[in-house]
Amino acid sequence: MVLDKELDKTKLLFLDACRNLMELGELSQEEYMGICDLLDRLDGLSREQFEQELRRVSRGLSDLIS
Amino acid sequence: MSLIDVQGTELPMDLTAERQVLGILIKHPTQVDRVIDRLRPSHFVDLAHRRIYEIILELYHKQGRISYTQVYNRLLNESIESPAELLIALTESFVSVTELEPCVEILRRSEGVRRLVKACESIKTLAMDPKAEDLADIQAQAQEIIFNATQGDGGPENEIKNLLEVLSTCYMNLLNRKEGLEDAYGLSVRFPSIDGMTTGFKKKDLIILAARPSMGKTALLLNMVTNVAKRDIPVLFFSLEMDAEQLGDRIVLSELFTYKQEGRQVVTSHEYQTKLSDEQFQVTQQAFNDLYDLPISIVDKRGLTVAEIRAKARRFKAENPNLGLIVIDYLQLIKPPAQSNRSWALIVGEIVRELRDLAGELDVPLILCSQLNRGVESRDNKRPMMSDLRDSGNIEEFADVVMFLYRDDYYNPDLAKEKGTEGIAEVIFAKQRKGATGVVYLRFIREYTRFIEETRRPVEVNHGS
Repeated sequence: MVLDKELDKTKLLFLDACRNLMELGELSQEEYMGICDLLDRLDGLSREQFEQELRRVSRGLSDLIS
Repeated sequence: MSLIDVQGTELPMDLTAERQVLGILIKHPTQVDRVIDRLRPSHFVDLAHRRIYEIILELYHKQGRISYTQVYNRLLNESIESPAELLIALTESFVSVTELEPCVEILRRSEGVRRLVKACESIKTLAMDPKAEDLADIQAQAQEIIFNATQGDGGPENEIKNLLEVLSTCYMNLLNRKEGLEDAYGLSVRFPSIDGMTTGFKKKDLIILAARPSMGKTALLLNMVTNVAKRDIPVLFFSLEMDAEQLGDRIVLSELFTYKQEGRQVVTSHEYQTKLSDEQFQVTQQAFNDLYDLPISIVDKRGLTVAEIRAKARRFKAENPNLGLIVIDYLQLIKPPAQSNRSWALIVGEIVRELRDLAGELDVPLILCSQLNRGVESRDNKRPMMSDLRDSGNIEEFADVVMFLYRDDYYNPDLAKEKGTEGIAEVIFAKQRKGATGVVYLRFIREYTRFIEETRRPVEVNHGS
């Protein structure tokens, strides 16, 4: 349960960060929406699937994280 | 539980419970189904919480799917500051989904109390308004305010009934009818022919009793009301034409006819209204004693509006939960709402609709007397027809039962004398939503304002209608 809560918190902070990046022009709106969709589907994805999907949605962000 | 200060009044609220409910709904969207019909946005005092709940409802209605990201983006679009922090606080507010029910109950209770306190404030303002002069108006409005504050608490759990529940009730009714139990049918008015046609007046039904003047509408109403009350069933009678004492005298006279039939000392109407012998006085006194305890309550104020009738009926029902029947004599004397620019037909239609809703709300049959338009008089056959009601709004549309009372001897006294049909009254069932149409016959004993069964004429039933 604690881990679950931490994940929720992390998702929201990540989302907040992506939003800021979009406002700074580092991410397009399309990329941002793709990330939102990915976060909504996060629970059903393995780490590899997540990385693969993130790379597809936003190459720049994927590179930044890795 | 804490208190929120609204214009100097402290109202109960619980921000923790608000956060817990929202956190659970966002994290476990399937739980929305469990609360959607019990929680409204107004259950949330914190405006950000209220908006989040509105967003949850909108998302749920539109796509049946709720997520942090959707709520986050909606909050951002509405310029709510730090939505991430707000949502993190929600995610951290609860431990388990089992906390949902207790929290919902806390919010419902707090909101109910807040509504009551606000209603009291409104009533205070209303009562202290120097422009409000009529005390009865103020009381009626105050009742309306309190009623509204105590209804619709967001908990219409019984609005949706599954077939099992419905059929269970039907089956219980069937068993009761088989056993011959009193409550199995609708409300019996103890006129076998009328009861036979209607199988008793049903709860929530609006029953129209219409006739031209002098046909005996009020007499028939009073006979039915007395018969109902003799079974200890409370009746509320709104008399907008006759005062309560006139009705009282009619009830006594009608009772004296029963005594006469039983072979007791005869007291005529004329004697009752002039001077009685000692023996007659004793008999009359006995009639009074028999009637004193009947649970009949009469409102004889003229010029009542529907709002006033509704307020009085609600109060009566609150004090007498087993109220069995409401009677209003008669429709055309109900005062229309002030400053209405609509046509008379529309106003009457609205009044009838509101009275039907009242019958439904209070779960009782409501008998509404109505005059018929003069069109009847211009026809050769003066038996009323549905079209005679049509100039008076959509009466027949809203009514569950439409009965016309007609006495041919009123129009053709010589013919009636010749044929021996004096006093024969026809009760014409022109509409029955749950039964057949047709005609039943009663005999009107004018002197005693009393209707009795007319056994010589068979009931005429149109099953096809």
